[in-house]
Amino acid sequence: MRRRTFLGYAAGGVAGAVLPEQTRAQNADRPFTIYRVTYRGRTEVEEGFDDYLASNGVAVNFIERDADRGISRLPGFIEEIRDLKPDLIYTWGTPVTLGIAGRYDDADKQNFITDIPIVFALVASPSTAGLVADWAKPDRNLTGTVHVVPTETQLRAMHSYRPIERLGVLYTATEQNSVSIVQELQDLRESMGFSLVERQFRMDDQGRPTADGIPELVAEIRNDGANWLYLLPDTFLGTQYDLVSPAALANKLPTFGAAELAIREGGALVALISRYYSVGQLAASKAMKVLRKEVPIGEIPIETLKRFSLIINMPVAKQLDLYPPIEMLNYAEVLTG
Amino acid sequence: MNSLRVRLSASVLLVVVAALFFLSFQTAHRAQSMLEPELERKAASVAGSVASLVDKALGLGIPLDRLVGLDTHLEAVLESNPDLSFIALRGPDGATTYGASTGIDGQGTAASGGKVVNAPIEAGDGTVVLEVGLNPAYARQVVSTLWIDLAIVIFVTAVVTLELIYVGFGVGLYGAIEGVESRLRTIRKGDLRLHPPVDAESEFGRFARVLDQRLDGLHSAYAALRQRAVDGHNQITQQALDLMRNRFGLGEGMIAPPLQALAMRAPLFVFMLAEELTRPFLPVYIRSLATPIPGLSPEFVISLPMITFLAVVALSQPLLGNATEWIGRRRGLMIGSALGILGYCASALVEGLLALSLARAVTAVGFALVFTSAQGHVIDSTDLRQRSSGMAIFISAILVAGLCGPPIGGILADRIGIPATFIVAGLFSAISLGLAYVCMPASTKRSSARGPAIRWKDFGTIVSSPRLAALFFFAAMPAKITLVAFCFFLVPLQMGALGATQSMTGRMLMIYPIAMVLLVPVFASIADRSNMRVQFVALGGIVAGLSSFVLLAHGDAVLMIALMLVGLGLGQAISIAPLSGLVGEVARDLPAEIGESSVYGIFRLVERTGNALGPLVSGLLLGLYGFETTVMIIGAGMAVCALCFFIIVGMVRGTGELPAAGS
Repeated sequence: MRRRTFLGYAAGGVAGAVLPEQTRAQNADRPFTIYRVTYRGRTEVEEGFDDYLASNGVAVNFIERDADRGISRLPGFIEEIRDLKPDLIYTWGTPVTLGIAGRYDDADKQNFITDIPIVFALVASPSTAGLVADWAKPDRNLTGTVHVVPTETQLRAMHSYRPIERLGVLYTATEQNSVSIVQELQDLRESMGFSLVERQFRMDDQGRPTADGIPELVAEIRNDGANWLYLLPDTFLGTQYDLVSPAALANKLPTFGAAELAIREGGALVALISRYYSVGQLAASKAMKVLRKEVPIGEIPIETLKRFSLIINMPVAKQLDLYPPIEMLNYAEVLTG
Repeated sequence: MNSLRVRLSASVLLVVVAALFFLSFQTAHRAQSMLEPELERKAASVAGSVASLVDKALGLGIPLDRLVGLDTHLEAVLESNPDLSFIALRGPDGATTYGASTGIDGQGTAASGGKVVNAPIEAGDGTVVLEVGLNPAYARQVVSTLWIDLAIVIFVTAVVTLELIYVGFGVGLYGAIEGVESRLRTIRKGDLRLHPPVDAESEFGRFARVLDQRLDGLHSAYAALRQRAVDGHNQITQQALDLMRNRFGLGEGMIAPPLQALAMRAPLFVFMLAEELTRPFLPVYIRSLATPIPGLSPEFVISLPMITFLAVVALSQPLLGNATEWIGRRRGLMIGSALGILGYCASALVEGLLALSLARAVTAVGFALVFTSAQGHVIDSTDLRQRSSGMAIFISAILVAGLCGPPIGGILADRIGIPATFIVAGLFSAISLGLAYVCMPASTKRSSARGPAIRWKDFGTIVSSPRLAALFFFAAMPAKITLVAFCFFLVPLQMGALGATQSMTGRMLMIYPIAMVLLVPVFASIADRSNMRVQFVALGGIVAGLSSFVLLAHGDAVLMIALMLVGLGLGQAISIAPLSGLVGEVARDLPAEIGESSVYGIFRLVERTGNALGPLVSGLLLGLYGFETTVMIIGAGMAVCALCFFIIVGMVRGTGELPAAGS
């Protein structure tokens, strides 16, 4: 009697172990569909995202869409999503994510997607943008990765390159994210022992920032005694590097970038950034959890990277005659081109 | 001093020490010849890594005179490499463009014989060179540190050898030779007392028997004469016979040295050595395993396994005393050693605080078993007259183990790691087990022997006597609390915090036993002869307590701790023997039915409780205040208690004070 019961249990156990494998195998055959909306075309983030999924054996068909630096196309995408019903939606940046997912506290969510999981990348500040109330538990059909390095960490990196005495910052008054970063800088003044010089981009009649007078603004910052210019993650600033950086150079003002674009193409002296590639990988890991139904999306926390990269632009350093401390060369990436 | 035993011990010791010296010289020589090329290699790799950094900078196009922060970097490298005396970067014209030096050699010159290692910088087209200078004093220091460890090993090995020699003494042929020797010696001096018999199997034994027969004849003749004088009421003859008795010892027997008691010395010593091995690193080991417990300071958490050990010892000793009577002393020792093996090996392998406390509790039961078995054996195999010299053997074995164990434990911990040292302690326990089997007489079940029993109903009476209570709680207990708190808990932790190696900590812990070994006999005899036991106990307590205030002085932290331990040892040496003697003396105040062994039993229990309280008190205080304040609080407390003791015992006169009869 005992032997039979044991064999019975054993058989049941083996069957129980085998069967879910079967179902998983069945599901694994069919590739997932991801509807991808980028802001300015394919970037390193997408490379990291795709590579991660590929190396983890997740077969995906992508439906690629681009917002072309605006939000006008988004409603059309939403309709398409409702038709195609993909397994997952991927969004790049705050405007796109807001346009597709909407704020968490919107009473009327008709115009947004609420039933398909959305994974975002490169949203600078999800809570300020109103996407979620709590990073640790989004509690909605949304999660993602933030690429912003904490402000204090950036300032410390800046300080170890060359001590900050007076920090200059040029930002867009209407960008909520930038305003809160400037507030953070004000709060850090006392503990870190520096003073702040603020300037804002000039606005047009419709209250949008313009490129008007950027060289003058930079010169003002310099003349007001700043010895660093902080290129904060301001969306408008991100489009104006080709005006800001030469002006800073001309005024012998070293610049610190907060986004990868700022240093790789934007001409900043040094930056502490999250690699876009790694941000993509982290987003893919969250997407994978959702696709494989391992964790419900509302419980996957929004995260930043844990490690950041220090990048130094050597030609700029030469022009400024401001070289990095030699120990930095041990861990920084140095651009020579 | 010419006795066989001394000459034999000396020759064995000489051979051992000579062999060890030879080995030590070989070791030091070998180390030295290996050291120099190693140091050069290391300097080369340091030079290489700095050079590659400079290379990278120059390769990126940074001009030579624009290497920001290189001086600071070189200084940092120099600081973390005490074997180097300078690092300098020399430009094309040979001048030093960047550099750091420890000032020994001055500005980057290769003076004072240190070697210089070069690393050319590729990016500088070979014109830029990084120079690194070796510090010759460093190599010398490494070798001298090695010699210190070697010296400790030689010393401890010599002591252990002496202890193990005892295994052979007193028995068989050796005992017979010694017996003949002592008879010849005493007879030559005119001391005609009877000797304890020796084994008569060998030639020597037979010779001793012949001598004994002659002495027996003398003694019987004397006894017969005496009887006739008493019968005949002949006063003058009686007086003459008394004079003869005093002069020649006729009619008396010698107090035999407690040879039988010696049997327990080797296994006891080796087992105690195992426990003493752990002294330098136990608190640090606990800290590495500990996870924070909410609500308790981390220092208090560290004290928990130590409290467990000492509390288990304190509580189980009274119980086990009777148990070992029952199952036999040798069996008790062997079981204790076996538990020790288990406990030490477990301590090496555990991963959490609870598991470690459990392992220590097992070890504690083993410890108590070994202690009580050995003590019981001494009591069994000695009569009242031999008792104190028997106990002296017992205590000195423990003390010598306390002297040898910590430095060896420290050296082992530094070289093979702490868990491996625990395993070595387990090994020592195993050796102790074997020695117990070999040396001790087989266990016989005793049904009616008296052991050091404690009658608990006497506890209340004993403690309510003010003088005895003062003695117990203001003198004995604070002494133990202070001893354990300082030597077992605070000093090892503080030495670790100061960055000292385990070897150094172990050497530091030798100070107290050395002070005890040297000073206790001195002060014990002074106290007995001058009948000033109370004063000595109080004085010792005050000295020990106030010694902690030496920490207030400025100076090298390690030196201050050493001075404090010297003071502690001095104070305790002054007080410890008179304290023990006072217990018997003051106990005479008590009603007659309370036995002396009961009082001593409770005395030991109080002392053991003090042991257990040591880590408790110091753990609590260390969490709240720092090391110095904790030490001073405990020291001040001890001094105050000593003062209270003096007042209470001094003022409350006892019921007649008998002259000191020796402890």
